Amino acid sequence: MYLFYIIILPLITAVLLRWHVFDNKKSAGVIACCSVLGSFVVVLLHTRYLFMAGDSGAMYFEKLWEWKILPDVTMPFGLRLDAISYVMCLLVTFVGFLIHVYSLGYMKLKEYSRYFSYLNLFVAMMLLLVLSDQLLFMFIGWEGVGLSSFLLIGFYHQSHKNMNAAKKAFIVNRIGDLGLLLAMILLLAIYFLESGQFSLSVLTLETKASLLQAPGIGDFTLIGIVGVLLFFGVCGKSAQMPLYMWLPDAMAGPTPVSALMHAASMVTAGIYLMSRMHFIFDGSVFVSHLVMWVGVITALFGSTVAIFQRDIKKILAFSTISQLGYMTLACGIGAYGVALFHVLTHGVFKALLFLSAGDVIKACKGNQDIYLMGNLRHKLPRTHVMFWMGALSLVGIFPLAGYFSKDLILFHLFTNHFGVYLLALLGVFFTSCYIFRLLYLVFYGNRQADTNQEYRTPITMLFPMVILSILLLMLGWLWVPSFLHLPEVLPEFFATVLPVELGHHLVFKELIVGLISTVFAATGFFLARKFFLYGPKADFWIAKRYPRFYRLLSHQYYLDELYYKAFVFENHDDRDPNEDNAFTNSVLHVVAVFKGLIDRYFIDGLVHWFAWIPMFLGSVYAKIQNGQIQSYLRWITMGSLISLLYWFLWISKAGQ
Amino acid sequence: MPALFSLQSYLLLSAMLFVIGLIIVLTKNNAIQIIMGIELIFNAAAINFVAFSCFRPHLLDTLQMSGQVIAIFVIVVAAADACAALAIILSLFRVFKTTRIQNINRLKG
Repeated sequence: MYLFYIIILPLITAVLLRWHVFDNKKSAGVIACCSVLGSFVVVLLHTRYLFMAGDSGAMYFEKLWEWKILPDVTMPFGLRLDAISYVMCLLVTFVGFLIHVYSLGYMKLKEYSRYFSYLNLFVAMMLLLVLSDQLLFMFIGWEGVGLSSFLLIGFYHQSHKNMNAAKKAFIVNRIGDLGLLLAMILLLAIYFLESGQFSLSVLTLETKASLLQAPGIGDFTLIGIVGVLLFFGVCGKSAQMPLYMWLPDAMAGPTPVSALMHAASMVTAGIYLMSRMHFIFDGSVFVSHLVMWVGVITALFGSTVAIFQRDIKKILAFSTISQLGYMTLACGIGAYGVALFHVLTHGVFKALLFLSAGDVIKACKGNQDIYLMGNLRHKLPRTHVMFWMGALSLVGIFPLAGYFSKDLILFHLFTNHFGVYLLALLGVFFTSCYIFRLLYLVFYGNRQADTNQEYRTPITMLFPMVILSILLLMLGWLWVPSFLHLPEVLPEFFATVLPVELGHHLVFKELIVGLISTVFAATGFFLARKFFLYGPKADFWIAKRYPRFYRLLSHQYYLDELYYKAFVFENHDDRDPNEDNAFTNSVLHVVAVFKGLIDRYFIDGLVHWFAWIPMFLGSVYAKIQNGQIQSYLRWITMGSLISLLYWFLWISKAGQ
Repeated sequence: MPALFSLQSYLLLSAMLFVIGLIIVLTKNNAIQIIMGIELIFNAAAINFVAFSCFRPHLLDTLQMSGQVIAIFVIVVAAADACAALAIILSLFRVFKTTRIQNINRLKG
């Protein structure tokens, strides 16, 4: 009934805040928090609609308006609440609310209006993305989160570096969006030709998925092409392998933003899209395999690169990339419910990790280099505990939420794709290495960090972290391994929309998988503890002993540099201007000459041509008006003669 | 009144006069010659009026001479017109020191 309010509440607040209606006062932040909390309450109020037995199953649909494109062609727009969007809404609004509260303590008072308006805009757009039943309107939300991400990454816009990071995120996202847009156009064309209906409603698409089995180009079916294009969009938003590189740079934004967007909600939009359009990904074996391999490569990439990073937020960013890889992997093997479950748990524990990291950064006067931190467990004892919780959950230790979701992914891999399972297990080991390296370097050792002596964690920052860690303890029990014989709440809920395997009682296998992954995680933990308990000496040793290996990992396999060389021509501020780039220069020269020719002869030519038309006509007419009265008379005579002739030849005859 | 010539011959004469007048107006250089051409055009029109008036079969008594009356009007108007035109030409001559119409071309944009 009031589904619309979920979106409109944060949106209105965003507009009001941006107009500085509440000024930069404490009330601005409080109102922003309240609007997100309001959305959360509205979502909760709709719970009963989902569990009412009806023909449509556990789905609640609210029609809003029809977009009249042509008199006969309309596009209906509605909001759809079902198991997937309900869970996503809860995640976005609840974690969003907690992070709003955290921001009250984290941000400076004079930044309140701008910051909270962007943050609310983001929440509104994410909710639109999640709730919309039309791909087209989902795309508005999809672009909207990209926009607010751009605004928030470049929040400290005084620094050129931050603005470049914002631009990078925006542009890379846009490249991915191209794929999604093309997929949408293709789907629209197919269904319009078939049914004459101008609609991209997910429901109709799903019921008519068989249409897509038609042959497309070469060996590909149409469904394969649409799937690949959609997945390209997913890669952009969810930071998968070819388009991952915006996420590490996105850490230029304020830390709560990293927690909300670049860990808990925005990057999961891709996973959401894949679950929503699962019938397309299921329909083509090629696409599922592509998704699976991209996922596992991304997971391994992220976790290995994170090992030698020095920036606390960059490590967490690569960790996010790696975890998103696991989710994509789960989608690739058809376990969409499991992927969404991991979205949920990852959203909570990664938000917790980021919030703790924000507290650490604040205590260290804005310093983010972990080599300059250390021994912070006495200074920030509570944050220390929270970080332990988050880290244990990330690597998947039993009672915490991360264990349940990660183990489910591994279990599905174990039963279906054993080779990929081994790779994923390797990823678990690396994950454990980097997160405990981070933990030990930041909180342990006897080095003295340069800290702000008066700093105490404000209650507004502590409260969300406590709530998140309590959630971590409870969340996992929503989808327990079947051998525990507990009620399976979440899988049954997801089964109303998604293909979910229920109740496979393979006790032995589940136990084995759980044990193996715990052993791998523990190995990583002990390694990290042995090498990094007293400081980053092991890093220096490796850098000296195996310089190539160290540089390869710390430079992200040189992928960023490769992209830079291949696609970016202009000189950056943070690049060395003396760098030898003869090749780039020659390419640049050719491109410049070519562009110059186009500019001179095509663009300028076009403009000149348009100017030439009136000049020519003017010169012709100017000759007529020459001041010679007799020439005027001649024109008049000629005109009269022509009209007379016309009258004689046609009109007078027609009258007879 | 018995017609010596048919209506067509009068109209032909009138048309010839009109065309001669028009050609004079369009081609002659001297302003006074152009006025003469205009006079010819007036007279061509007057001949038309008289010819139509004579050859109309059933004419009301009151309107019997209307064509001829209009012809006299035309002559009067032509005289007045010639007066005004000659006055204009005189003042033009004072300014431009010529009556060559090609040289009088100040009125252009």
